Amino acid sequence: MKEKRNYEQELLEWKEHQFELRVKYRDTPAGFGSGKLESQEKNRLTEARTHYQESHRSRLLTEDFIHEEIFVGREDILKQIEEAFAAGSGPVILYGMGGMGKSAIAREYLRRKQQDYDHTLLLYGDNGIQSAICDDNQVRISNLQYTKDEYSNRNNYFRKKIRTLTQIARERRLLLVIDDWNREKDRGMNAVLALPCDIIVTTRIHPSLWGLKGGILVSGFRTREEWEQFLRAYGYENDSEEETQRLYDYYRQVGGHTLLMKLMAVQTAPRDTEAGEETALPVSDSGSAEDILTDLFSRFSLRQEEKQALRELSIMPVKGIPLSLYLKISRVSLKTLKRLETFLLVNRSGQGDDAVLSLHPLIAEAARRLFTPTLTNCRGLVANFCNAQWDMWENTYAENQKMEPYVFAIIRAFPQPVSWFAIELERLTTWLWIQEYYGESERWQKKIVDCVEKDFGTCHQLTGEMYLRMAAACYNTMDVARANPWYEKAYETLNLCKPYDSRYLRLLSEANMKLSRRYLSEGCMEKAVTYAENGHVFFRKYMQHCEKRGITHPYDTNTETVWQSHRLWESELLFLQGKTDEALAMCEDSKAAMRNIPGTEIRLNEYNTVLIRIYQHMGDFAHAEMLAKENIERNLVYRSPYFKDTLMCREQLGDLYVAAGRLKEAAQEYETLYIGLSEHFPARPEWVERVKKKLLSTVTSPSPEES
Amino acid sequence: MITNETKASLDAILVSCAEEGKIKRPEILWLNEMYTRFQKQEGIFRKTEVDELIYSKMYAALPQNPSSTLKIRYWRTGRHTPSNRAQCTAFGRALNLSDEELCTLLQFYYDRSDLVFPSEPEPGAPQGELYQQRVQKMNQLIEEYLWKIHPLRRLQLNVRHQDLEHNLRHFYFMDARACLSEESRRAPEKHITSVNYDSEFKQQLRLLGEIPRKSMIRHIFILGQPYLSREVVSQYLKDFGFLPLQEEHTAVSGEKLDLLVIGFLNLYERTCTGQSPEECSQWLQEAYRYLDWQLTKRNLQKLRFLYFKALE
Repeated sequence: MKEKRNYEQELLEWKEHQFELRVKYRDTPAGFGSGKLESQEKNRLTEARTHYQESHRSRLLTEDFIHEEIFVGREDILKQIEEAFAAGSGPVILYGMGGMGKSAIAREYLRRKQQDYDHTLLLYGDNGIQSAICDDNQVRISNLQYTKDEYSNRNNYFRKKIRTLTQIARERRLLLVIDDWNREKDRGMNAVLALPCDIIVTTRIHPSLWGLKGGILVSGFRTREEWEQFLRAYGYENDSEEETQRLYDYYRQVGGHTLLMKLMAVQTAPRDTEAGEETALPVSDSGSAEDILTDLFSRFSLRQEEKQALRELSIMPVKGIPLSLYLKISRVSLKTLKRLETFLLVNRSGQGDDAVLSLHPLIAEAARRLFTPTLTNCRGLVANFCNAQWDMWENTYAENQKMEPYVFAIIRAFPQPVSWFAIELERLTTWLWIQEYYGESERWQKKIVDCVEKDFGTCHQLTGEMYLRMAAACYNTMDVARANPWYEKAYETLNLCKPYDSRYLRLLSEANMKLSRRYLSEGCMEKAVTYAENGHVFFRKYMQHCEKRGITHPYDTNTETVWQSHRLWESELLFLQGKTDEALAMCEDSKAAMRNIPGTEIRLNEYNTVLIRIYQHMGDFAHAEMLAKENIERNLVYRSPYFKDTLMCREQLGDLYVAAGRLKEAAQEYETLYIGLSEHFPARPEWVERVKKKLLSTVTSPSPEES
Repeated sequence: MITNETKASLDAILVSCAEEGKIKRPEILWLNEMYTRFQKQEGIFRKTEVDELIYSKMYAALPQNPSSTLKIRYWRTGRHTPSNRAQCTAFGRALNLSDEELCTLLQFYYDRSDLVFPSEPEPGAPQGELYQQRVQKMNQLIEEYLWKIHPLRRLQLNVRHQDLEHNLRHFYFMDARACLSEESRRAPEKHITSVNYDSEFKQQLRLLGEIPRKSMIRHIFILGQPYLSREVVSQYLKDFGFLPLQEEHTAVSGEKLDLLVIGFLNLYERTCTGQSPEECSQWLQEAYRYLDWQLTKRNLQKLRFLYFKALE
C-alpha cells in the first residue's frame, strides 16, 4: 500500500537531495568545500534517516509463548491443521461444543510450532475481534499507539492496525490464534481472516454461519485408549475395571466432553473418596454441558472463599487476570487459589510476575449461574479495583490501557450501577474519559446519576458530586456547552444540600473552582475571581476540618497537590488582572511547595507554563526560555515526543522565540511541532493549521537584522 | 545583506563592461579574418567583388543592383547581423567555412546555439540523438531545481508534493522576480501572474525553437542556483550548444554580457565559498538585485541577464 507522504519524510528527502547537490557541485561556493564538512553532514543525514526509519518501522512486539501443558491425543487434528496451512487453504476453524478441547488444541499447536514462526499471537475474541486488535496490550506494534487525536476513533485505528499487520505478515512468518470467538457477526472479521498469515480460530459457531467452508469439528477422543490416557494425565488412577467402565460409559453419555472428564478425573480421584465409596456421576435432564457442569460444580465441596474466587474470576475476561492484580484487589488468598487449581477449576498460566489466572469459559458460565456475581457480593473486588485506578492521573495512556479489559469486564458484569456504590463506580467514569472513551464515559456516568437521583433525590451531597463527575465527562469531550449546565447544577445542589460527610467542603470547593474556570473562559474576570476565592476558602476549611478531626480519606494523599493547584489558578488570575509581581511570587512559591511532594514531578510543568507567560511578559526571555526547555525535557522523559503536552510546550517555546525576535529558532521549533502534529494529530486540523501559519510567518518575516 | 564592499565590486564590474563595450567586437575581427582568407582563396581583392560573389553563392543569383550586397558589407563591418539563422548559415557557407567554423560563426559571431530544433526530432532522425542528450541535460537541471524547493515553500503556496513539476513555471517565475524585488522574495504570488509566460517557457525548456543565449544563461542561473560557478555555467552552455562564457565575447549588439556574468560569478565565488546553500542563494538574489538596479539606472537594459519582459 502506498505510504502517505508526510512532512518529516519530505524534509528528510530534501536534505538528502541537498547533500547530493553539494557533493556534485562541490567546486561551487555552495558545494562542500572540505571533505570533513561533507563527512559530518553525511553522518548527520545517516543518523536522521536511521531515526526516521526506526520511528516509522512497524515491528510486532507482542510474543505469546505457550509453555508445556497437559495435552493428550488429538494428533489427527494437529496434523489436519498443519496440512491445511501447507495447502494455503485459509484460516483453520476449530469448532464444536464448549469444553471439547478446541482451545487446548490451538494452544498445543502454537506451542509445538512457535519456533517455526517469527511471531505468534494469541488473541481472545470474547469481546469482539476489533477490541482485541485495537488493544495495544494484546497486539503491540512499534510506533503504533491509539490516540483519539491521531485516529479519531477506534474504527480508523483498527484499519491502521490491520494494514500494518498485513505488511508485517507479508514480510515475516506469523501465526495468529483467535480463541473463543463466538460472535455470529463481528465487525472486522473479514479483515482479520484475510490477513496473509496462518490463522487458527476456536469457536462454538459453525463456520458456515460466517460464510466459510470447511472447518475442523472438535469432538471427543476417537479411541478409548486416548481417553484413558487423558484421565491418567489428570491424575486419575483406578485399577478397577468396573470403575473405569463406568467412567467410560459416562464419557460416552456426555459426548466425550473433555472438560467434564477432566473435572471428573480430579473429583473421582481415589484420594478424595472414602474406600469403597462410589462417586455418583452428575447427570442432567437437558444433557447440556452447561447444566452438567453446574451439577458437577455443586458436587465440589467448595468453601465460601473458593466460591467467592470463582464468582470474581467469572466476571473477568476470557484471557484472565494477572495474578498480581487479582491478589491486590481481592481478599481471596493464594492458598484458596491453589486449591482451586488442583480441582482444575482455575487455570494458572505463566509463572511469577507473568502468572495469569483464568477460568474456562464454560466454568465461568457455570460459576455465574451458580454463584451469581452482584455488586453486593463483589463489592470488595470492585471497590478495590476502582480505588486502584487512582494512579490513572499520573500514568501514561499505555499504562492505563492495561486495565482496559477489566474496566469493561466490570461494566459488562454490572451494567446497572447502584447508588450506594456511586463514589467507587464513578472512578470508572474518570478512567473512561482519560482513556478517551468519551461516549462510554458519559453513558456510564448518566446511569450513576440516575440511580443516585432516584435513591437520594436531587438535593443531596452525593447527587451534587455525581453532577460534578457528569460535567467532567462532558467537559473532556471538549463539549463545554453540555458540561456547563452540569457544573451549574452541581454548584446549586451542593450549596442547597446539607453536608453528608466530611468531603462536603472539598466538593463545594471543587464546584466553585470549576465555575471560576468557566467564567474565565467566558471573559468574566470578576466572577472568575469570586468563585476562585470561594473555592480556596472552602478547600482551606476542608483541610483544617480533616486535620482537626484526624480524618484521612482513602486516596486523599493528593490534598496538598489540590491545594497547590488552587494557588496556581489564583496566580494565573492575578497575572491576568495585571498583578504580575503577586502572580509571580505566588506561582514560584506554589511550585516550590509542589517540588516537595513526591511523585508529582510532571505536574511542575503546569507551574512552568504560567511562569513562562509571566517572565515573557516581564521581558525576562532568558528565564522563560529555560523553563520552556525544562518543560519539553520533562515531557520527553515522562511522556513521548509527540504527546499532546510535549507539543504544546514546544509551541509555547516557539511563541517565546517569536516574542524575543529569534525567528530562526522559532522556525525550528515550529517545524518540529508541525512534523509531529501533521503526523499524529490529523484529527486536530485547527491546531495543525495554526502552527503551519506560525511556521510560514517565521520564514517569510524579515529578521530583525534585515529590517 | 550584501556589504558595501560587494556593491563596490559590482560597480567596478559594471564600469569594466561599459568600457569594453566601446571597442569593436572581436567576433567581427574573426569574421574579417575569414573574409580575408576567402578573398585569398578566390583571388579577388576588391571587396565589392567579394561581396557580389558571396551574394551569388548565397542566393544562386547575381545581385540585381549595387544595394543588394549592402547587407553583406554591413555584416562584415559589424553594423548589422544576418536577420535569421538560415541567412547566417548561408553566409558562412558562402565564405567556405568548415563545419567547425560554421559553428563558431553561429555561436561566437551570431551569439546563438549551433543547432535549432523546430520540433522534437523523430527517433532515428538526424540530430535526434543529440537532441535527446541535450533534453536529458535540461531535464536533469529541472529535476535538481525541483529538489531544491524546500517543503516549507511548497506549503506556503499550497502546492502538493506530487504537483511540484506541474508548478515549475510558477516557482521559476517567482525566483526570477525575487532576483529583482525584495517584496517578491517574501510574498508568495498567485499562479495567474506567471501564466503569460507559459508557452515560451515550455518551448525553451524543451529546447525547441530559437533560444537566445541570454535566455539560456538566465535559465541556467535560476534553475541552477546556488550551485553556480563560471565552469558550471560554461559547461551547461556548451551542453546546450552555446558558446561557453568567454571574457572577450560580445552579444550581437556589442554588449559584454559574458564579462559581466563572469565578473559576477567570480565575485560570488570569492564572497560565498564555504557558506551554506541558503546563504549563497540569499547572496545571489541580493547581489543581483543591486546589480539590476544599477543596470537600470545606467540604462544598460541589455545587460540585465535575469530580466525578461513577462516579469512585468
